Amino acid sequence: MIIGKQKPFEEIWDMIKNFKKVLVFGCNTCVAICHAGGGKEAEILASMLRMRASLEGVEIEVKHAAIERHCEPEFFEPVMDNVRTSDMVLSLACGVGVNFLSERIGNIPVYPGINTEFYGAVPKAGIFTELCAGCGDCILHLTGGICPIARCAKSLMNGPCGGTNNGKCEISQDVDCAWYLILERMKKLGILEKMFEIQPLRDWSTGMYGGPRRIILDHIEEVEAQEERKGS
Amino acid sequence: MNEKISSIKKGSVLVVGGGIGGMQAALDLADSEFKVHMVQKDPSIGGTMVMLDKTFPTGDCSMCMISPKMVEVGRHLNIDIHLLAEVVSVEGEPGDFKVKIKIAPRYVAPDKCTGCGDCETKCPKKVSSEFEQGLSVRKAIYSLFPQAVPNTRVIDKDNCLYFKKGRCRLCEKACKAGAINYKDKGKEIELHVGAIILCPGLDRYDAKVRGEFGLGRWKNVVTAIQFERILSASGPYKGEIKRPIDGRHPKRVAWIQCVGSRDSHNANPWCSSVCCMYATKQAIIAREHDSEIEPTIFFMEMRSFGKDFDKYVERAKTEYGVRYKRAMISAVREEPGTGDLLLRYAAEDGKLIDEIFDLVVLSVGLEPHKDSVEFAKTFGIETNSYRFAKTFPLKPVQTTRKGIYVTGTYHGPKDIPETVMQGSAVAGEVMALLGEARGTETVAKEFPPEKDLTGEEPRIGVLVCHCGTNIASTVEVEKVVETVKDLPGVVYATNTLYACSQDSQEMLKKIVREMNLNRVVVASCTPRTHEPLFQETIRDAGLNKYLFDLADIREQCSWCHMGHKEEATKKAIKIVKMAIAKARLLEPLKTDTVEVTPAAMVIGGGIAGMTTALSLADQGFHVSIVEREKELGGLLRNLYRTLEGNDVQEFLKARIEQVLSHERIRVYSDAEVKKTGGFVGNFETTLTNGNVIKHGVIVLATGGVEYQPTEYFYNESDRVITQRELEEKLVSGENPRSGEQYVMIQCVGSREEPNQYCSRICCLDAIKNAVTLKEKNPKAQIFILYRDIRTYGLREDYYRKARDIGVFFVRYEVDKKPVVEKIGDKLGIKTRDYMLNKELILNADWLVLSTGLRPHPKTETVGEMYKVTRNPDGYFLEAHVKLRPVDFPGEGIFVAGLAHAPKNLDETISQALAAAGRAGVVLSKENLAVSGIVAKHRKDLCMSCLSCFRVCPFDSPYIDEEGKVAHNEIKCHGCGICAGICPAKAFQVNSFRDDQILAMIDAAVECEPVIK
Repeated sequence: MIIGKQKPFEEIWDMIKNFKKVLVFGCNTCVAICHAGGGKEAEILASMLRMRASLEGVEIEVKHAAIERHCEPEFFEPVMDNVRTSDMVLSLACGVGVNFLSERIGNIPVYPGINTEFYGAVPKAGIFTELCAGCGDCILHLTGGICPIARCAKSLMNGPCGGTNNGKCEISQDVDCAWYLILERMKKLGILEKMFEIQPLRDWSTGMYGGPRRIILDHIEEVEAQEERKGS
Repeated sequence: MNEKISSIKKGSVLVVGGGIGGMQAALDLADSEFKVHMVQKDPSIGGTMVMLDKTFPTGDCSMCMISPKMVEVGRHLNIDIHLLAEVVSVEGEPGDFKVKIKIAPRYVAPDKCTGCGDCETKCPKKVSSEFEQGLSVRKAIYSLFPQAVPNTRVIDKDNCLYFKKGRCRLCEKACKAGAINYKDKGKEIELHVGAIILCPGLDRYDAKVRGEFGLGRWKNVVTAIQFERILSASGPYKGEIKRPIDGRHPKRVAWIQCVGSRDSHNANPWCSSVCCMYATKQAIIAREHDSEIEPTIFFMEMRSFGKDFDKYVERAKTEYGVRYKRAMISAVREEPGTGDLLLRYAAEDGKLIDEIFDLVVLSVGLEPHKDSVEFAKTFGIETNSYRFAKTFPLKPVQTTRKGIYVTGTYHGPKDIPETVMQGSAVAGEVMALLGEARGTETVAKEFPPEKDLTGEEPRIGVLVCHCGTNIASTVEVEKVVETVKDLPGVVYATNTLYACSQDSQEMLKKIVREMNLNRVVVASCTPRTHEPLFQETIRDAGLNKYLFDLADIREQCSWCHMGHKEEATKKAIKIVKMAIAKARLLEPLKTDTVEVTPAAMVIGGGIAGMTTALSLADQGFHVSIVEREKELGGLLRNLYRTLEGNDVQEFLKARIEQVLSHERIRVYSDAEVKKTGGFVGNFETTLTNGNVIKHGVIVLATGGVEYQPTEYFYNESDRVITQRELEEKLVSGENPRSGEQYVMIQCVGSREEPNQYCSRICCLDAIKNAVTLKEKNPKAQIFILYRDIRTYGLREDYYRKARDIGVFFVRYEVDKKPVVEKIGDKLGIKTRDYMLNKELILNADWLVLSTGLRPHPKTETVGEMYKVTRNPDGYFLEAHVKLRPVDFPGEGIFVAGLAHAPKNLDETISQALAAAGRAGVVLSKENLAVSGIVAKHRKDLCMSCLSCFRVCPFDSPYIDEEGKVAHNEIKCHGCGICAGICPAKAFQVNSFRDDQILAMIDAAVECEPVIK
């Protein structure tokens, strides 16, 4: 799941304060589950912004809305007319949603209300942890299911480094050393010897170092294209 | 309730005493279909707990906890409270006692008095207040304290001007309800009850006897109970800590411990059990009120033996800067002219020190009432030599007369949770005794059918109360009525002198019928006490009880804005408008019921589990005991004698025999719980041996284990043994030789990180074994190296006995532990003697380690299975450390024994009986009613994010067969945490829905609805 965190209120206020009609626009998928940008947060934030505006003595109409997902165009269709009545949209979706809406909304600015943080899990209510980096070339089968790309501060392929310290990483006592976890996990799985296999240099271009990525599922894309051809 | 077997046993119980222990027993019994008569000699119930400010170790407000309980007792259909009453005679047998009760005149008719207090305002006579411990005054007509239950006033005849001089009668004039009756003569009544519970409570030691402390002479010397009142926000100083002499804020405050306790020469020989903790609490709370205060506690031994108590004392030291000084104060003197107090004490090295304090608090001990021997005679029971009721270690709540039980401080000094626990324990005992008579004397209320409101617009009736002059002198009641009567939906509005009086209820019913009302708002006092009354009234008029809202314009308006009539009236109008706005949106709610399987499952076949099982089986319920070992008995199999000398193995054998032969108990040994499901009243459990059990309640009695030491060469020398091993040796006939030296070290593996808790049993074990050794051979030498000897309560006798017969006690500090080395087949032990101020070297033949207790390793998995939390030490955490000591937040699950915390055998038995009492309340019902105020879950909105599932304290959201979140409303308490956290707003709590709350906010701020 994509984990986001609402931006500081002051930063948000600075973004919207010079507009007259603002829509706080929530997304009811990932960011709703992490209590950052769902319909409920949109409602609360809109209310706080209205209060701030009246405290500052400025007239801003702040509305709120939310849709199921901001990353597929069909969900926008029923609300787009309403969205276009604003002169600014504060999107509480992840960065994907902000991009996606910006491309479709014409000359109305779309600003981010949350910081998109990482792909994470929710081990306990209110706690979110980063476990995957979306690198495009998964090696978890080599590392006992524990990802050194996301969880090692140096993304080492052959670890641990000299900074490992009683199971913790040198950057902070609150961060586990991923390679320590990998070692313990491999011991448990009885494949400790795999630790000694040297991993070759990695091709980082599968990740975002290789530029923006795109995936096309030919069999589905083809069906879509046929449908379109028939229609035209 | 219609298939009761007729019985000669009475289905009613007499509870003598209305303190927290009596209230618990009364509620448990009345809730499980017994009629209860509560006899209380004060004009209100409440006892000692109502006087306390906060409680240790959680810092919860005492009154806030007990007040709802008092209200519950006061309102209970099957509890009759007889106040100003004393029992004069008891005849008959268990199951059928004839009791005569004398009720003193109150001079105020309870059926007319509404508790408004107008009489009190007018009464000219001021009397020193007993409740405020003489620190302020009350009137001659009064109620004991503002939250008194019942709130009927009483005339103190000895101080009333009319009774003394024949003139005044101002109260009679002031009372608009006509409740004053100077001719009241009191009465005598006779009751037939099946059992009697004695909980008369305590007196406090009169510290004036110890003249050297200057109580009564030096004004800045106060007793601990006076200091409770000083701390209390509703007390004489409104929570401001001031010196009685000059009202100045004290800086240096001293507590003197053991005043009247542990002193067989001048005072009471026993330990009062609670003073170490209450002094620590008072020091902490004092610091919280005023950070300038520097608290010092002068103590002999720190007896913080209860669950999480040691941690509390540690926090007092480290976080609050409380100074603990181990010293006995010989005298307190006042510095002339200043009111300051000079304390003289001997430091550890024997040097005399004089120190000045601004205020001195005497930690006075507890004792039985002065007349407790006479009291015992009335009931035909025996007392012990200290005037406490005589009981037996293995039958801790039974008196010497069958059918008469004892709970609370009449049994011995104890704190609130243990009193509450015993309250439930006696209830359990009575249920077992009178089981078949359940429901024979109770009554249930019948209501007319509910009106169907389908398609009806809101028709709201508003009743605004004057509360005598309580509200009307500050709020313009007529103006409130005038303002709200034309609001949308309101069809009728009026004012009344007392909304809660009996005639007002009749009037309310009449209006509902005549005006065809379908919602009612009463603007009066707090919903805490009065909402159920009005709900019942409208229900009687055929309305669903949830079509009611109460606007509190007394506690939250007139009382706090006295003298500001205009503003108070404005605020009252807003409060009423808010209630009306909500009432428009109220809907009738269904109160579902679920059937109860009248059977229990007990996990753990130790003494706790067996005791609970036997009590429940005697109450008439089927019980399954699940024990992972092959045999029953648990840890008790290793114990041979109690401190008092009872044969434990014989007792255990008899218990196991009783369990195995009981027709309603089935034992599954060598088995564990594999799978659990269901909810209160309807659990289903699959065991590892394949058996499936259906049951209505679960009792977790998973026990504990003894710590296996690694310290002091335990694994390396057969001369180093544990207390348990020594006990076994002594039982098997081994006798100590003359001159043979035994050294015992206390607190091995206890009371230091990571096990910062007292195991409670080890001091008693050490003393028990030391006394046995000395009795077998007086020439054996015994040294007990200790940190604090914790022979709390009446157990102090055995500590004194040990010292008298020549057992040596040498104290050590945790940072200077004894050092042991092996010298041949002997052991050299070096420790510091603080009396001699020298190093002491002992050559021990035997080193005996007093090792504590640990939670059973299974506690963790069992805890996870039932979603019950554990404290940092791994013991199960009860629902509330003071008032719900054997319950869990999730209903229908109870705890007993070592699984809860370390405790002694008698305490384990008490707690096990308490669990049986609490479980009996659930099992005695054919159906459990579910409150209408529950959270409603909308699956279509739900994203199954699990936030609710994870935060719900009652485990009511669950993951269903489709892998989605669903909600079990039967488990729901309507607390609203889920509604708060749900990111999808899929939860709405009935009667507290978002639209209802928003309507109230809109009514309060009177702005347009928000732009959608």
